[in-house]
Parts: sequence; C-alpha cells; structure tokens
Amino acid sequence: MSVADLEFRLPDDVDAVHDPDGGDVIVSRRGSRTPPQVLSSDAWALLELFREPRTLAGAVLAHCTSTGQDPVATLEAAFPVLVALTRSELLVGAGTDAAASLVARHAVGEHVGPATLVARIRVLRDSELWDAVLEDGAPAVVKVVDDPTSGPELFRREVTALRRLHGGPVPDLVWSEPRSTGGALVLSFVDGDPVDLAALDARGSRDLADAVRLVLATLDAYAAVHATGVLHGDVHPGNVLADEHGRVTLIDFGIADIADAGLGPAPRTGGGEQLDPAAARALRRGVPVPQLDVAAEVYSLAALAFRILTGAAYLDLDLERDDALLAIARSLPRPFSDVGRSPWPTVEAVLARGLAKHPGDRPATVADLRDELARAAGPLPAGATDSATGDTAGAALVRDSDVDGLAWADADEVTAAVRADALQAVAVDTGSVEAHDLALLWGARAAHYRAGERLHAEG
Amino acid sequence: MPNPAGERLARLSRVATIRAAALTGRLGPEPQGSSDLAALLYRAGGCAPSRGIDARWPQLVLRRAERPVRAALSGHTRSATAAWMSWTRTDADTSELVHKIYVSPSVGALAEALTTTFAVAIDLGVPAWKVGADVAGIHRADKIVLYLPTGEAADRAASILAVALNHIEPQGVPFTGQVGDTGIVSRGIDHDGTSWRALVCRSLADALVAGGAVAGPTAPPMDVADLAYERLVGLGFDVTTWWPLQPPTPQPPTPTPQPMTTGANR
Repeated sequence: MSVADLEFRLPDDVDAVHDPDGGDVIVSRRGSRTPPQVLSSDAWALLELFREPRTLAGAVLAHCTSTGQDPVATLEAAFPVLVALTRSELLVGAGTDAAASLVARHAVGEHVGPATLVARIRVLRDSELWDAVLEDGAPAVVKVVDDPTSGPELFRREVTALRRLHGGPVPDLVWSEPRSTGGALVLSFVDGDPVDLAALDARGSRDLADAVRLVLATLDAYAAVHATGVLHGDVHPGNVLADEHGRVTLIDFGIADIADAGLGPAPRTGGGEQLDPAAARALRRGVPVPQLDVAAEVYSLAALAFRILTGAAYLDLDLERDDALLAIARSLPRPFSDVGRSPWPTVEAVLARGLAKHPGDRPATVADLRDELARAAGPLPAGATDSATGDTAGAALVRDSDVDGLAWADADEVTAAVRADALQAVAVDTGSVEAHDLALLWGARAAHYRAGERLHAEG
Repeated sequence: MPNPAGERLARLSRVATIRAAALTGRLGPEPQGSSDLAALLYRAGGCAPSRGIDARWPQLVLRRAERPVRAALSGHTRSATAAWMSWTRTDADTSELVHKIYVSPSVGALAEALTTTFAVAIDLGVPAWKVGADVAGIHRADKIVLYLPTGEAADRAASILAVALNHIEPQGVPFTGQVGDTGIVSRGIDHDGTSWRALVCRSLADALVAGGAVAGPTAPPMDVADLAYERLVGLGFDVTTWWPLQPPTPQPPTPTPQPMTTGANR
C-alpha cells in the first residue's frame, strides 16, 4: 500500500489554542514530547478534516471543495506541512497504536514494588512519573519507562548509572523492575526546582550571587559523576534540580554513557541548546552523531552555566531547526549585555572557552571549567543585582505627585507624561504600589490631554 | 494628601477614588470619560514587575505551591488560560460560586502566601480558586481569588485565611471588604456574571463623572469623591467598608473596563 492509499487521522487528544492576535493556531498533543506546533488557520482547517480517517489527497480535495482553492496548488503547498505533522504525531495512521489516546498506566493507590502511588506528576506517551510513598512513610518517586523501541535500553542505562553513582548527587535507586518495553524504578524523592529557576529571588529576578553558587554546585555534581566514568548526556536545566539550600541533584540517566558497563555507546539527544557543535554538524549532514565525550559535556555545561547566570540561551536559537544547528556549529556566544545582563568580562571569557567550537580549546575537564569560573566570578559585576533598594529621590517624587500637590495643579501635557514615566521607573525599581498607582494616574492625565487635543483638532 | 480614617483597604479605596476624582476637573479640552476612570480604578492597587523578572517565575511559584498538596488536588480539575491557573473540585457547580475571597500578598511574599492558601483551601473544601499565572497576573492586586457557594462559607473561610496569613505582607485589593487586620484577605460577590470589582469600578466611575459635572471643573477632588459616594450609597453600596452587600442596585450592564475574568473556571 502506498502513502497515497493510507488513511490518516487527527488523534482525539490533540489540543488547539487559537491566538487571538493573529490567525495562528497552536496545536499540541497531550503527553507528547514534541513541542507545540504553530499552524496557520488554513492549515488547521485542513488538519481538522482528519477528525474522520482520510487519505492525504482526500482531505486536500475536501478542503478545496469548501474553500474554493485550487487542489493541485493546495496539495503542493500542504504536502510538506502534512508530512511534518505525521512526524510530530499530530497526524497518525488510522487504527495504529499511535492514534490511541493517552491513558495513564497506573492509578493512585496502586503499588509499584515497595511504593504506593500518591499523585500523578506527569504522564507522557513513553513514560510516567508519580509521587509515591514507601512503607516507612518516606516520600518517593516512581518512574515508568514504556517505549517498545528505546525503553529497555533507557531503563538499563538509568539503572546501571544510578547503581554506580549511589551516594552521589543523584536520587537513590530504591527498587527497579525491567519490563518488555522498559521498566519501573522507585527512586528517593528529590525536592527541587530546575536549576536555572532556582536562582530567582522573591520577586522573580535573578540573584546573581545565588546563580554563581548554583553554577559551581552543578559543576561539582557533574565532576563527581564524571569521576565514576559516567557521562550524563542529557544536560539541561530540568535535569538539574536545586533545593532551597542550593543542593543540586542530577536526574534522568537514560542516555548516559557509562564506561566499562558493557552497554556500548549511548544514544545522543537530537537537539536543544546544550547540543555541542560536532553533534550539531552531524545532525545537519544527516550522518551519525559522534559518541559522547567529556569535551561535549563540558560544552553542554558551559551552555547551562550561561543560562543559569543570565536566564537566556548563549545563542539566539529561536530559528528553524537547520539554522539553529548551524548557529550551534558556528556562532560565538552572545555577550551578557545582549540578553539584558550586566557585562561580566571575566566570566564571559571562561564561558566562551567552554563554548569553544573546537573541543581542544575547551577546559579539559568539568572540574577545570568549575575552577576557572570560580576564579573568574570573584566580585559580582557593577549593577548586577536586579533587586530594588530604597531610593530617596524616588520616594520624594512619589510624595510630591499626589493630587493635592503643586505638581498636579501646575502640570501640562508634557510634564504629566514625563512625571508618569518617572513614576513608572520608580514603580519598577521598588515594587511600590503607590508609585504604580500614581504612574497610572499621571499617565491617564497625559493621555487625556492628547485625546482631547486630537478631538479638537479633528472637530 | 490627608489620610482618611478607616481600615487599610477602605483607606486605599478612598485614596484611589480621590485620585480618580481629580481627573474629572478641567484638565484638558474634553471631560474625562467614565470608562477611562473605571479602568484606572480597576487597576488601582497593582504594582509593576521588576526589571529583570523571569517570565517563567509565576509558573514556578505555582508548582511550588502545588507540590506539598499534589495528592489532595487529585479531586480537582486544573485548567489554564494565558492569564490564570484555576483549580476546581470535580463535584463543584461553578454557576453557584459567586461569593469571592481575594487573597492579596505583596509579590515578594507570594510564594509563602500561596502555599498557605492552597493548604487552607483544601482543608476547608473550597470548591474553586484561581491564581494569576503570568507576570501581569501576579502583580495585580487581586492575584488570588477563591470562589464559594454561600456568603456564610465565604466569610468563614476568609476569617480562617486572614488568621493564617496575618504575618504576611499584604498588597490589598481596593473596593473589597477587608477581613482581618492587615487587608491581605477581603471579600466580594459577583452579580449576574459581572465581577464585584468591575461592578464597583464602573458604578463609581459613572458617579464620579456625574459628581464632577455637579461640582464644577474647579471643585476639590475630595468634594467630587464625596458626591460620588453619596450616589453609590443610594445604589446600595457600602462606601465605608466596601463590604459586598447583596444585592446593591447595579447600573445597567455595561462593558467591563478591561479584560478580566468573572468565573472560577474561565
């Protein structure tokens, strides 16, 4: 049977959100690891026809009948989109396993090994994560790997790595059970947030001193892991959890490379901002990605350090996949100032070495990268803290701006607008409700002048 | 400006009213429109995000609040819009949930206040609540709203929350009825699908425009505010405490001053 004869359908668990500002529709599938896709409203209208099983050509013909578009031109334009949607599993073969809606494999109260499931954390098409409790009342996490293709190897690598790293900066492996499509693991509970977010203060701004501590703690954790012959292979903020005391735990070792374990080379990730240049070049060329090594992991960790310190990626990767891979392969990291942070030349220089395109130009080990960064961090750069401090001039401005003051009595359009801006700056710096309300008031006054003058000019 | 007597939220409300009243004077070629005043009143009590705020922070704070009570939340539906995250008990009849409790901590105290609020809401079986889920949402005054089916249940829950949150720095929601000492907890009630604050702000804005017309362009803002309050009293509002009386005589339905939500699950 050729592709032309195959019937496809839109799975029932696909969600669509219409962008109110434009004609775009954001489409995602529940439990899928594929990021949400942005479609034009026309493409979404075509995709919706697959609520009933149809061939690709049949759907295009039906779409053209209702819209009056030319079928041949539409098929040419739509075909690449439809193929891309099949890769994202937003369009699947009718009657196949992929068409089935996601159902949790377990339920609250069930036992998995020594653990009782308490609450669902996440259910994906290839895995599940549950809050659980052990017989002695200790909190735990149950992870279920369930993917016929890659599940058994992911499970084997994770178990092997966690056993080797027992007592290190990883969860304790309490129990495990292999299954035909992967397996189940009971892990000690890790309380923490993604490491790049753990550096945010009580108002959601980055605390640079905390960020530096978290970078160093992260690199210490990775140095300890590397010392046992394990390379993580999946470096990103969500796999580095930091608790409120700044302690770091590494999770997800399913694609770890483990020396002398008889597991062979580990599979590599297919993208992401922590991808190293050699892997990016191979992915662009469609050739096998080189085996993970320390230099590649140093690169990934330098990229992660950049994100922890700035809240942004070291490159602007908001691009089509091929362009993003090309940027990773070729482009130099952007300066901190490009992402709204204070320049920090000493630290930026070390990160640039970690992010060198040539592996030989990078620090030789994670420990070396850590030590260089610790030396370079020294005193924090001027203006580094986002946190507000008391400001006398700002307080005086707020005090003088109320409606019983001289400023209110004497203001004209220009002074009202200037004062609104100044008050808004104070509001941003201090978080003051008073400054916020007065900025709105003066802004309304300035806008009122402008609107009135426009009316008079028109009238 | 003299500090009017009264509880904290009553004072915030009075100050916001006088400031809006000042816009009814002759400041430009045309009189100030009622809808602009209503928008100003509605946004009063908010604050501005800090310069370096991370846009993912509100979601992080929500996840932290959920974490200790994840098991207890299994009987709730969690729904999200761009601006709000909502939790609704699966057995709740949302059409009945018009009695509101506002919880308004300062942004710096949001994480602690959320954890306590979630715990109390679950403990008391509160049917639904919502929290601002983006940067703008957590800087509003009314960043956390709980919904209950009766005034008695809402009063009781509000009193318990006020005690539990008494030590936390408040932001405070103007034009809502203060519960407890600090103003971190207050009450409102929706009318015919219109939120309490939208109703109050629209009615007050109309009254300010009318008061300004009566008092004249050079009248002191406080006089215009007093005239407006007289009108609102006539409509059934308590302009001293802003306690949500049921029902005040609302103005005919008019468009809300800015997009806002009026339901627990919207």
